[in-house]
This record gives sequence, C-alpha cells and structure tokens, in this order.
Amino acid sequence: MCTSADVRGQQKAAMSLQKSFPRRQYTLWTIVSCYLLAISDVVTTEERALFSTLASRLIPLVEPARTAEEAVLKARVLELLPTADQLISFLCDPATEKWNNLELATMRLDALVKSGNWEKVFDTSMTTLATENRDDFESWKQMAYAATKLGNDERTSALIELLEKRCKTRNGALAGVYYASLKSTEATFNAAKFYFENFGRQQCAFDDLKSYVEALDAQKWLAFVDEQITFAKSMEHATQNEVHILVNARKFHYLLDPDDKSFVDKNILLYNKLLTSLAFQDKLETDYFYGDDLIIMAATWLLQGRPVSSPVPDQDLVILVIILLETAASNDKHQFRVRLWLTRLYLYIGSFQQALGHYNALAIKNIQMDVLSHYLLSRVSTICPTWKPLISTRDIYDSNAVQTPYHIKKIYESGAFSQVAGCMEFGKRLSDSVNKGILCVEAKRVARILGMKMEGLGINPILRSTKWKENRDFSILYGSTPEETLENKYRIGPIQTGVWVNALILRETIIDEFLTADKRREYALALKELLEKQDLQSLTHVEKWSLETLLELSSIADSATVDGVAVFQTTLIEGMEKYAKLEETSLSWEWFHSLYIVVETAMISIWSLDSLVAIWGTKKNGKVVASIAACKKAVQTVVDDIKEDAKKLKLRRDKWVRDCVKRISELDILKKLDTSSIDIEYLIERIGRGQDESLTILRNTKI
Amino acid sequence: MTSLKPFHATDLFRVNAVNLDVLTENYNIAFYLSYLAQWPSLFFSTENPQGEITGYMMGKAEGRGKDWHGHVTCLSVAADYRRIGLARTLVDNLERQSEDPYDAYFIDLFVRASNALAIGMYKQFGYSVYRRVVGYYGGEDGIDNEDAFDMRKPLKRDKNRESVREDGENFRVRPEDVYL
Repeated sequence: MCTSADVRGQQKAAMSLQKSFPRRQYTLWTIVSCYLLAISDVVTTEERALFSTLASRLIPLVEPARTAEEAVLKARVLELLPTADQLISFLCDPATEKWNNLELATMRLDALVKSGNWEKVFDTSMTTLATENRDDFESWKQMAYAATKLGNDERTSALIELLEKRCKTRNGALAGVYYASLKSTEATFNAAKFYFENFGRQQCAFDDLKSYVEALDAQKWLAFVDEQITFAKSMEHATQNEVHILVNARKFHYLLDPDDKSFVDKNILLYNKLLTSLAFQDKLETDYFYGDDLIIMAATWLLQGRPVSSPVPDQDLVILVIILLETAASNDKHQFRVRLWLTRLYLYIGSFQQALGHYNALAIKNIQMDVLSHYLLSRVSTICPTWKPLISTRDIYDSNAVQTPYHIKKIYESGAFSQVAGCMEFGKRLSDSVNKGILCVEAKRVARILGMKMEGLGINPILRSTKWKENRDFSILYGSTPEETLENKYRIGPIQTGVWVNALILRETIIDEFLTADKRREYALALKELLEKQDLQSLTHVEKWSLETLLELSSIADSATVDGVAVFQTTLIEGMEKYAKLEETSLSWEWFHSLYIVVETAMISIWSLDSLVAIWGTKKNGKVVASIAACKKAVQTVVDDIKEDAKKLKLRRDKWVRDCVKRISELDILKKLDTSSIDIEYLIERIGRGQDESLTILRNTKI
Repeated sequence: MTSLKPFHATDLFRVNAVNLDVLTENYNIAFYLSYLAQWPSLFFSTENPQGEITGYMMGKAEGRGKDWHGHVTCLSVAADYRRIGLARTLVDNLERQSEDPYDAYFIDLFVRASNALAIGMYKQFGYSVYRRVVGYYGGEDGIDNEDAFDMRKPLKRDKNRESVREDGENFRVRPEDVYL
C-alpha cells in the first residue's frame, strides 16, 4: 500500500491489523492512516469528517503518548476537529510541553494565533524568548502583534523591555522594526535605521528590511543608507563589512529608484574598484564575493529595460549582459546566481553548449534535477537536441519509485508519525511531477531527431490522466519574484504545464499508433478535444501548429484522396515556410525552436505517409499514392532549403562574430567594465559555436 | 529574521538557495528520508519571514553506553545568510534535543583537518578536538586522503567530561576504529 501510495488501502490494512491483533502499534497505524485519508484529496467531504472522527476516537486507546511523535500525531488529529479548543488545550498542557519538541512548539504558536487568543500568544512567545532563551523570530513577531492587539500596558512594557534588552541581536532588532511597522512610518524609519546601523554589514540586511522600507520615503531612506557607506582606507581596500554595506545600499537603490539612468554605470565602476579590495582578495575560493551582486543588479536592470545613460540596441542586449555576468563568473567561480542567469541567457540565444557549461558547474543532482533542470532542459529537443543531460535527469524518478515507499514503511515502523504525511506528499509530487512528464516526452523527441533507437521510450497514454504536480523553482533566479516578470520575459517559451505534457503525450501516442486505425482515431479525438477545450497558453504557436498538422495527418490516414492530400500538402508547406523564416538579425531560442519543430513535423509527416503507402500496398488508388509522393517531395524541398539556410548562417559565422564584437565593444557600458579576466571576442565566438552546433544537428537530421 | 522549523520531506523541494552552494552536498532521496524516519526531531531548518529556507541541520543519535551521543551529519547555511549566527542557532537546537529527549552524553561531528574556518567556529561553540581520524576523507583513487578531526562537546549527562580530552589533535585513530 505504501508502494502504490494507496492511503485507502493503508487504512483498511491498518484497521484489519488493529482488529485482529489489538497491539498499540497497529492502533497508532490506524490513527495515522485515518489522518492521512482525512487530509487527502481522494475522499469526499463526508468521508473526511468520518475519518477525522474515527482517528480522534482511537486516540484514547494509545494514551498517554509515549513519545513526542505520538504527541504530534494526536495534535494533528485534533487539528482536524471543527473547533480548536481541544487542540490548544493539549498543546499548552505542561505534559505536552515537556516533550521539548519543535513540531509541537510550532503547532502551539500557530494554533494560538489562529484562535486569536492574544494573551496566550503573548505569554507563550515570552516564555520561548525570555524563559527558554530561544531566539525565534516567529515568536517575536507574534508577541509584538499580540501586544498591539491587546493594547495592554503591562504586556507592552514587557515587550519593549525585552526589545531593548535584545536590540543588539538580529532577531531582536528586526522584531523592533516589525513592531514599529505596526505603529507608524516614522517609528518604522527609526527602527529600520537602527537595524541597518547595527546589521547593515550582513549580506541578509537588504532582504530583512526590504518589505518595510518600501513603505518609507524612498529618498530619505536612500540618503540614510548612502551615509552608511564608509571606508576606513579606501574603496579599493574595502573590508568585507564595508563591501556588504555598500552593496546593500545599492540594492536599496535598485528597489526604490528604478529611474536612475546612472545606476548601471555606477554599479560597474564600483565593481571594478572592489576587485582590488581586501574583501575580494582575501575571500576563500568557496566563498561568494558579495560585490558580484553589483553586476547581477546591473544585468537585471538592463534586462528589465530600465533607463540607462547610453542605450543598448535590442540585438546586443543579451550578449552585453552575458559579458557582464561572465566577468563576474570568471572572478568568482562558485557564484550560483550568476551561473543560473548565464545558463538561462545562453539558452535564450540558442547557444546550448555554453548554457550546459554553466549548468554543469552548478553540479545539480538528485532532487534538484526535478526542481532546477528546467533551466537547461526546457524545450531542449527543439533548441539543441541532446541526450546525456536529459537521460541523467530521469534517474531521480526511478529512485523515488523505490526509495520513498520503502522509507514510508520505515516511518510507520519507527513511529516517526510527524513525517508520514510529508513523505507521502513528497513521493506523490515526484511521481506526478510535470517535469518528469516533460522529460519523458522530450526524450522521445530527441531520439527521433537524432535518429536514435526508440525502444524503451514508449509513453503510456494513461499518463495524461495524471494530476501533474509543479515542483519547479522559477524564483531562485535573482531579480525574480512573484510580482516581477523578469524571469518570465527571458523564459524559453511559456511554462510547460500539465496541458503541454498531455498534448505531447497524445501526439506521441498518435504517432506510435498511427497504423492502428481505431486507436489512432481515439487519441486524435482526445487531442482535438484538448486543443478545443483546454487552456493552451503553455504551447507556443509552432507547437500548436505541429499538433494540428498531426490531426490532419490522422484524417488523411482515415480517408486519403488526391484533393485531401493536396490540401494537406499546401497547409503543411505554408506552415513550414512561415515558421522556418530565417531571422537575419540574431538567432534566438525561438528561431531554433521553430526550425526544429518544422523539421520534426516534416519527419513525422513523411514517416506517416510512407507507412500508409506501405500498408496500402497495391490496393490503394495509384493517384493518391502519386499525390503522397509529390507531397513528400515538396516537404523535402522545404527541408533542404532550411538546411541550406542553416549552412549559409554557419558560413557567415565569422562575419557575425566580427560584427558583433565591433558593435559590443563600442557600447559605452562595456567600456566602463574591467573585462581583463575574460576575452570578449572568444566569448562571442563561443556563442556562435554553440549556435552552430544546433545548426549542425539540424542539418544532419534525416527525413 | 530567523525562525526554527521542523523539516519535512517536501522541504527538499525548497532548499535550493542552500544546496546550490558548492560546499553543500546534494544527497540522494534515501539519505534524507532515512534521517527523517529515524531522527525526525534532529532534522530542522531556519526560515526567513518569506518562508524561504536559509539553513538546515541533519543530526542523528547513535552509540552505546557512554558513547551514546548526538551527531552533526550536515549543517548548511545559504550564502546570503552566513555570519549571522544561524549555524549557532542550528547547533544549539541540536544540543538541546540531544540532551532532551535523547539524553546523550555528548555531541560530535567530523570536519576536515584543513578546514580552519569550521574548526574555529565549532571551538567558539565549545567543541574541542577529541581525536584525529587518519585518512577519513578519501581522496580520488585512494590517494591524498585527508584526516578528519572528530570534534566533541560534552552535554549535561557527561558530568565528569569523560567524552572530551586534551590535545585531541595528536590522538590518532584509524577510520575503522570509529564507531558507525
């Protein structure tokens, strides 16, 4: 039951064990499984209430709790009840507190806050902070909020006294800022000032304060932080603390003054000077240099299209930003935020090998493959079809299928009940990961384009009924927040969602079952419905066209006529020519993506038509077979033209590099940067080589 | 701003800011889940107010008799949140848990003998070198193995401080002499 994540089965099995062998352990298992069912999405509302009640009625059979984990289990069951009284009473009971358990302590505070029992919130938080001497910000925050809600002089005084006593600790100082933010803007400003004066030298100072500072007078705050920038000797000899204050101040400028045309220039000049600083020279190789954030800010400022002192032509913007970031990367090998952006931007301009280099430097592995591999592998089959990184990413899902159920069983056996729900969800999220679905599809497409064997790559069409889970992290990219669209702007097409996966699964299934008429029709109908009824925002235009073309092919397979084949040929060629139009200015992921889909669609079309002719043999009308031959020839001609254009692009590469180097070198922004650690011409040449590799693979495809 | 939170398996999707650091190992699923299954209260994280994980501790409890101890398996803090006391917060909580409910005699950890930064940090926390485990960290192809320092801090139960010693840097043992 654990292997198949069948919570109903777990509950039934546990219940049977408990009734047949009334051991304490089996009663606990029954309670756990009832709880899992009650919080799952496989039960009805009535069943949810039923299993909650059942679990709570079984609790007395295992009391008193013998371990903290059993106490956590009881608390989780009590959480399901309609009112919180029993839960709060249990969590605040001294017998429960004696477990000294973080999970119970967290639940206690959460439950008290939700209940609005502010006196208890205040007292509990005070105990945590003052009596137990545990410096927990959540306790600080809730205590401050409770004091405000209560408006009680005694408690307010106690809070203020503790804040003053602990004002030199980070949590204490920040709690002061939070408390002030509940009072007034003036109080917030003074508290934030105090915090920055004492902790502005920490890298986290900006993140700690930014949400409060946004409500303040921007110019007043910026003037203050600028005053904090001091150097004992000079900027060129800045210490780590001095660099941190400087960079934090610049981050506030980034946040609060988005119209400053001189921002990029200033950041670049500051970065140049800091390369001789003690902070940079003395850092360990495995440490990050915080000064890199000056470059990252400059890069994201440019990418966002914010004002600059000297404008950058659109065609050169991404390459300029790449140069900035490569400079930072060459000086600071382990800065992952720089490398993530470089991975993304190289892919954005279709230079996969350069993206791969930076991605490999990040040493992403195991669970990270599910969460972060999209930075490299989004639409990889249509940017630069590549096998090895794609296949190695799939290992995590095989591992999950074996390891997670095994450890869920271990959790039942060891009584680590606080972990069951989390592990089950973890296993499900990996098993149903949309990234997994994407990679399954992409593996098949890469194999097709590269002419590899397709055995073992079959996709079960039942998978399209999966409720795909989103685990990917899009916000780790610097400058990307839920409110910002920067990551969105430089993404490799719209986010591929479950709809994308389902559509492509259907496509692959139709291709696999092309010669089995009833199955082909069934899946073609399903694909047609999907295209008509689902939200198709996750598909690019050319992807939609390719799916529609496959549906037309399916119709041909049903009833091929001379006219039908001729119409198909016309629409196919029109689409191919439309989407394969060569961009003269600069290559991009979009162009490669369109080209590869056009060529892949041509491949599938020709293979399908050939298969039909082979099946028909001599039975079919000779004119239809002849029209199919004409269609194939027309398609081949377009593909040949595409390959020829790709070849011409490759041959123009040297000129492209020279022109690009000349244009980029004349950009004022670049002239300000100390690029002594990189070779710009070599970098641009490598960009070109990366793009050429994709062009070479394209030209080598066999239709 | 730091809040301590218990760690759950689904948090493994949220540790990127920590685990993208070059010094932080990304273990396979089995490793993380085995710790959650066996020592759930010794696996916890710190979060900022945006709910982002800024650091975490993977600990365990092992040993027999007077060797019953807590152990720091993995302590990792995101680059942006270093040098603000998060490591201290995480280690303190592990010590707290190791005393109650685990009632351990001491806490220990292994650190590369060349890692002066980590050694200095743990000494500030009250740890001392108990012994040098020769060749503990295997180099590639078995060459260039590096020694580890087994650093320890006695807990309340060890009233006579039997779990620590002077001059541990020169007390050499082989890896096979170290209990699992």
